[in-house]
Amino acid sequence: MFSPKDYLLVEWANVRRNLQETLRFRYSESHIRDFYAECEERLDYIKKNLDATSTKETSDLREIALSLDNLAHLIARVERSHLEEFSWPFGDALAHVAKHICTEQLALQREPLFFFAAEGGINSYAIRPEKQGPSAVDQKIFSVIFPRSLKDHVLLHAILAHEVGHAAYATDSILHDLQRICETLIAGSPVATPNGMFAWCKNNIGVVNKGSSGVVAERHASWTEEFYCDLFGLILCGPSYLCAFQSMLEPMALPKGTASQFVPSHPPFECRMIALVEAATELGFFYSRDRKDKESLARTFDAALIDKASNLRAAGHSLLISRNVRKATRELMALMGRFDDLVFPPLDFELIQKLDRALERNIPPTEGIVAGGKRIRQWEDRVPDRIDFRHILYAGWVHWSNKRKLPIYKEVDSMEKLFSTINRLCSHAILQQQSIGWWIHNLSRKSHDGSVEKGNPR
Amino acid sequence: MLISPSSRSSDPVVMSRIIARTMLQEMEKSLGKSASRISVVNMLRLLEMYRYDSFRSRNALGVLEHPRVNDLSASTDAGLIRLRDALASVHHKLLPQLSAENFSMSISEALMKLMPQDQRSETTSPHGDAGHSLAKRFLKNLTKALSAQPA
Repeated sequence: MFSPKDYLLVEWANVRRNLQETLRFRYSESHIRDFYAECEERLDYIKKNLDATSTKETSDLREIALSLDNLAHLIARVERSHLEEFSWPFGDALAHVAKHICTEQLALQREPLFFFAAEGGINSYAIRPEKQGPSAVDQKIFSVIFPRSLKDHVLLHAILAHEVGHAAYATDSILHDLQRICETLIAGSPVATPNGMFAWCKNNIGVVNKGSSGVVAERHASWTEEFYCDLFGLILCGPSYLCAFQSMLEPMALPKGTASQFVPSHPPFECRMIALVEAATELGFFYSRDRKDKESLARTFDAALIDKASNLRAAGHSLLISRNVRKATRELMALMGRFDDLVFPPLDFELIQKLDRALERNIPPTEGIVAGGKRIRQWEDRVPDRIDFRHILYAGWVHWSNKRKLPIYKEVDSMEKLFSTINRLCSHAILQQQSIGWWIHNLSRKSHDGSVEKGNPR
Repeated sequence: MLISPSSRSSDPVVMSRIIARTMLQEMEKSLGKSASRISVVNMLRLLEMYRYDSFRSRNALGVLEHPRVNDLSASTDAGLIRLRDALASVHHKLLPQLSAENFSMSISEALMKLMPQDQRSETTSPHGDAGHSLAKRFLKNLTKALSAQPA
């Protein structure tokens, strides 16, 4: 038999041993250095707390046990994170744009680390930010989860932008600004208050029970945050987010007439889709509306989304007030614009046309290769242009939309093959762009004459 | 499963008390001069929550994740409310003339003085030894407030 404290001391040694075995052969030294340093610091801190706690202080021992438990879970999650099981170029690109807004604006604060892992399920995309507030944590580590079955499907990974919204919502210094935007978003709608939301759910989706006290209020906060995260995802990842959202969530939407015992944690897909298309219109993301020839490429892509929302609106699924969705979108855009690289960059349609042509030729959609003649041999003379990973995703979705309507792709096999191929090519393009980023970064470090721009490692 | 998921929830009051107590011990060992980086960072986080009044407990969900029905009554903000009240009582005892924002900033600055010089974000502080004293009084009062039984 162990005393609680002795047991924790033994477990502490076991967790430390686990850490030493984690990722030994799976990642480069530079990638895991911060991870090890942070986990070692947490272990030392937990041990210090444990040594200072007597066996009689049961609540303190329990809290220390939970800290150790959390760390053991984190180490196991990262240990299971194998490069072969998720799209690490996409993960790296996402972490780069997300890190600034997820960093607490505190003295001594370090940027969070992002670690990636695959899980089962067909839509298990998630980011698990380490919890807000005091804990045995110095540098926060966010776990990003990909569904293993979709590891190469980078077009669908755009949905992770929604999860970055949740991570940003856990950052104290911008929380109040985000909450104000949330208030604007739901203002005047049936879900503006918890009671209004329950009444709407009762009348429209057959909810019968409020549950225990506080549940409706909690679900109200949840719905508001989900609507906000949808806007956040759209502003971060651009039109690709809309496609990923519709593709993944519509099959999981509750069929009409399905009664729910309690208010669900998320608003219905239909209401979210309408709000997103409203926001995309406000952001000018439906490029074909200008009716210029060069933008006709996006016509099928745009029409599919606009028609989907119109049909849902006609069927009575509108929930939020249009003008408030648009106002909240503008406010969120302004807030997100304060952080480097966070907002979907302005689109150059000539570039998208080039990327589309590359996909047509079954090669990764990158500008240098399509243009030809100004590739690797010129790297000594000029810094090659970088293509944002979100533009690659957009080109992939546009290409898919246009090819998908061809009769040859009506068959399931050919349709699946087409989608897999586009995803693979886009994934390779993102990887290639990342390599260029590293090259620029290393070159700028070596350069002393100032002729090369300072690059970002990503 | 050995224990229910709800019993795995951390108690922010106990965690904050442990951090404050550890910092005091670290200060005693160094004759009042220093504390570990992780202690200081976490106390700054706590003050940030107080500054922005962002005490809340809901965990982020996935894009489509639906918690199980038996989780519906699990959430409670009681610990966070106690934590906020404890900080408010220390605020009004130590520096009642300051707003929550200024109180948080003053205490944060004093706590920063406990960091080794090469790890501080600023090299000088107007508080000097008075900063150490303020940090110590804050930590003592916070430990006491967090040790009190809930009403």
